Amino acid sequence: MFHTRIPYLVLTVYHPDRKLAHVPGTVILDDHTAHAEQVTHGLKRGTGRNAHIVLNPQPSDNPNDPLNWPLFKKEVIIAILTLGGMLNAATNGPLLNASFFPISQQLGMPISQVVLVSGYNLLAAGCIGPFACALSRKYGKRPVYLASTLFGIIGTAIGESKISYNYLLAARIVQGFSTSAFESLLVATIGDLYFVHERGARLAIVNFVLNAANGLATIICGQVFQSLGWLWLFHLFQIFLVIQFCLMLFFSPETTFLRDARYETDLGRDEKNTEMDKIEKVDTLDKSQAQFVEDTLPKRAEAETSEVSSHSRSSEAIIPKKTFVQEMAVYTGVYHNDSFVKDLAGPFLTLTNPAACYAIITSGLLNAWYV
Amino acid sequence: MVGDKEADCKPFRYVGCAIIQSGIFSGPPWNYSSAQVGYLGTGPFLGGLIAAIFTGACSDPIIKWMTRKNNGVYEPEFRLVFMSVSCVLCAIGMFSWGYAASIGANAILCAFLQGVMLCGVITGMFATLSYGLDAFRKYVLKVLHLHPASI
Repeated sequence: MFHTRIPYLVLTVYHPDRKLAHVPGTVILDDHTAHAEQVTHGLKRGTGRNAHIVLNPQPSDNPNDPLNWPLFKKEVIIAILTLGGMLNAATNGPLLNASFFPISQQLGMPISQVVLVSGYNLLAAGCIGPFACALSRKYGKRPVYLASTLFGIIGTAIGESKISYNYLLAARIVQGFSTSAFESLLVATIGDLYFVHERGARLAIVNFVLNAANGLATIICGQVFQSLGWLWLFHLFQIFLVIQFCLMLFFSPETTFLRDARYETDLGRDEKNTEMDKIEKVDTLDKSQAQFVEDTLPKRAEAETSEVSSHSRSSEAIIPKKTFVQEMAVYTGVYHNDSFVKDLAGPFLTLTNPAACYAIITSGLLNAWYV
Repeated sequence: MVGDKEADCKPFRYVGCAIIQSGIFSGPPWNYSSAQVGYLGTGPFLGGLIAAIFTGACSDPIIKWMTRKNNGVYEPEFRLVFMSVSCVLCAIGMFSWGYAASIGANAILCAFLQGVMLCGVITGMFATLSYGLDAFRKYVLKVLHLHPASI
């Protein structure tokens, strides 16, 4: 029942002939090598030199599906959001790292108390995490991005208004609320926009911006603090934040998209009863879709994939493409109907899955050690 | 005054490296200004850049190659091969940086070691994050939101 990734490995070693439990995320990527052409013949593939790659996730035929957008549009969106990440996560955190000592001298306070300001910044970033998660699941990522940058702008406005410890503390706490969304949603947005075989390069860039660019931020912030002073550190930060906010408002549409479950290519998707699925309860499916999945369960994979292709051909050109104004709407509807409290608890429930727990603890520890 | 500052900094030595940079390098034997402390960020920046180029350039070819070896079936665990690189770099960077800072070694050496550390940190975070993204795409929001909370 409880399919973790570890028993899978054990099974492979001890029972090589046994039918394996479904492992989430395991997909046929290269059907040429897998000799699974019959199973995957109805599925969409990449173009050019990626023609042998079975696209995962499978795009729908809706022109508003983010996976179907032109590559240029995807890159622009990721570039704008990465700029947001650079400002709200990579610059916001180490904004004062180089200048704590001069600040403590200017205020006549012990440095430990001044460093605490950044501690509260991180605390605020951590506390807002579950809320950003719940809200982005319910209302989509775009409103959360916009609200986060707005927090950054307000916090910076407090910081640039006066040289005082209390203002600095208030500014850093409000600024902290902006970090969380960009640190986590940015990676999820890449998952929305790109296919598995394209993600590596984008993930590396985003990971670099979120975690390594703070070295560059320290250089610039130290220089600005020394030459222009405390307030200009915040003034300059504000200028970039406002530019990024405007870019995001006008050029970065919502990337969350509800795709029919029949487009899932995850191997063995019939195994719906994993522990995490219970939490989720496939709530994105409406009744008919759930019925569809149930109906097709006993059928073989080939039947399912041909169903996909015949369905996709029939639904072509029914849905009109969204206009620019429609795409830039901040509120694009509710994406699922779970209770807000359940959503808030969601992140903590993922810890019950050993593999998710491993990913969280490892990356969290690595980051905590460095920051 | 100097003694005070030393005592103040001590509890923070165990928090993290980036936040306490100013506290350490503004004091003896370095006595750096904030701009000079800022320049020490060059080390981690270059370290992170190298890690990003390394993971970005190698990751997709490596998983494609491993997929071929695995009869065309891709498994998210393939991303975890980068953890071995991360393990070595983190160990070297973290232990030596702590030692170098405690004996007051050359600041450029400290910046270099911090770069090695960050190189390992970025590689490791790339491995775990891309593993999480590929394995639990449906739950990726929940998984990732715990991550800043755990800092």
